[in-house]
Amino acid sequence: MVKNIQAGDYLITGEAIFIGLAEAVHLAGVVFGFSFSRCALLLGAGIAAAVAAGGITLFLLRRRRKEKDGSGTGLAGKWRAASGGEKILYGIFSFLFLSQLIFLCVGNTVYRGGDMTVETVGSFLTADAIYQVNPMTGAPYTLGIPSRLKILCLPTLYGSICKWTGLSPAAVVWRGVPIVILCSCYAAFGLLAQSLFPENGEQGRGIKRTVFMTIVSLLLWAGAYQNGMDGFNLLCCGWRGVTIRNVVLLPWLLSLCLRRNWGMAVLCILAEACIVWTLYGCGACLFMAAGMAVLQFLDRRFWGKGKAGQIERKGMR
Amino acid sequence: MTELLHNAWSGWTGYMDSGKLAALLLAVLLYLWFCRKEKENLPLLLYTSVMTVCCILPVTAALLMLYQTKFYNYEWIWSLVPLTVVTAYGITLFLVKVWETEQKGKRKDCIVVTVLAVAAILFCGSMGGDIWDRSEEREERLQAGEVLDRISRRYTGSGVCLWGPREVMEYAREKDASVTLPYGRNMWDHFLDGYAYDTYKEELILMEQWMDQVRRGGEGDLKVRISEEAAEAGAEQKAASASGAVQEDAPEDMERVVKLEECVQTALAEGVNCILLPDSARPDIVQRVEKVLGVRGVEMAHFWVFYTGEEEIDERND
Repeated sequence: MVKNIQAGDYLITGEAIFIGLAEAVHLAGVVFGFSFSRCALLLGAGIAAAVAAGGITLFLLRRRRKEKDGSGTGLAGKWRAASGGEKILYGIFSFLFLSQLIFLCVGNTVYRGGDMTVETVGSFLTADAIYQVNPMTGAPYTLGIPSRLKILCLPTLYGSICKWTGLSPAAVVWRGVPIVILCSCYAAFGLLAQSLFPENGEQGRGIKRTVFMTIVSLLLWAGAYQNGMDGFNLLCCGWRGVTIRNVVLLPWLLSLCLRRNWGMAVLCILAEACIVWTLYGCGACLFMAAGMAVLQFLDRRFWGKGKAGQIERKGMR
Repeated sequence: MTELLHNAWSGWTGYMDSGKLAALLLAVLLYLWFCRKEKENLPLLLYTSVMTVCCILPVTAALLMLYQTKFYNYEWIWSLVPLTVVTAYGITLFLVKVWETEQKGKRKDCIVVTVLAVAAILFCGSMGGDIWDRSEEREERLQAGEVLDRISRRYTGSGVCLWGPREVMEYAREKDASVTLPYGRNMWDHFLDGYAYDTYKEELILMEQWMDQVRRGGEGDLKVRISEEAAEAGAEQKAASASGAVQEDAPEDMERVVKLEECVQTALAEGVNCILLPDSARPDIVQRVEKVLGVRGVEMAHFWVFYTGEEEIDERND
């Protein structure tokens, strides 16, 4: 059953599906020795088909929802209903978001210590093969690479984007991808805000959600001081698998857990396994989902509060 | 396991060195647990509290590091803690509660508290700190890009295998993946070693050390300290082979001298067809390289460039 699906859910689900497709093509390249050009072509066809299918589904769902709801509650309607304080907060949040976007576009932000994604993508494109040469030297591998690393699909996804667009690996990896991840990050936190403050639909008209989003963007700026912090990951190395996991998948997963949408939570776990070196698929997403599932069960069963359940009942507006 | 425990302990102190967002999280958790009657998201609160404690205590932190395959450093176990989420959640509840008092005529207090909360967030980070100061790296990248562009133009049609100072080798493969190198960035960024089983031969490591010495304005021959066992093994091998390619004073002074000529020959054997030296290299070093290669060095940007394998070069583009 689909519960409380929002626009942000569609966006991140789409990204997770792209990751899944990239993984399938990447594995085909690794196992069957497909050339990289062929992999990029296959991935392009897969993504085009997924976008077409997704577009049609969304169109049908939207039409059905419109017929059901009748009244339109678009962005303009929400803006008109917002209080003065809320509008100021929207303004501050927009300023912080734009400053981060500009920072990613023109700033000297890239931190590539311990990372070789650009070199890997470049070697895929040059050798027209996946992991045939050592990205560090350009010479063939002598002993190879760990299989758990070899199965991670992000270089194939980024390389395919380079192939389709003709952009350089540095432009795609260091500029394009972090911008997409920044937007996805805020989509995930937006969903989380809706899950954490479900009562705002009735009263306060979203003031808590807006404060939450503004504080999140402030924390991301403030947290850009050290490797491993969300802000640093987002603003200095937004292309890495661990960044996508920490700032997109995990906040989304938390929101799904609070909504008890376990089916889509599985998607998070699978996506992480495709992009991050995990303990045989057991990564942070599985850990967090399991922890939240157990605690929510205990909360409902023994502690009796069951507040999380209210979200489901009240819905996310 | 002992090493993991040590890493977990030193990791926590290191984690708190640069910024204090983890401390802010602890403050928020205290507020959520003890200053509010309502516990709207108890599972989230419990999960975050437990995971925070687990990340701080060395034993549990070491176990979490084991869970994340030991490949990632300590700071990455904090991925399991929704730090940004819960900090923002707690501050939001705090601020909204404070703003509710505005209706009781305490507008001034409300503004002061809000400003203090924002200041606390900013000061718990390092306000950007030295993270953004990458002007040196940018300068290096631009300089390397310029040299690499000119070299690549000269070698159209045939691949360039480059050996040079770290400042160029660092950016060569990201700039142009068709450029090959005898050794890569993982020679000095050792975290990258985790991405492959391949290791470098001793001669390549010595080549890098030699180039690093020249880059720092040092001599043309590299003196390497070696262990007693290695010296003995080397002396035995030398006696057996009577090759003499490597000049050794060991085992007496436990030092091995790696000559410039030896390094250049190794580079050529590795397929290098373009050698760069920093323009700060001493004149006698440049002359010796010219003598070994039989070509004259060309000054380019901040480097001396030595093209070998001239017959392969497309002169039309030069």
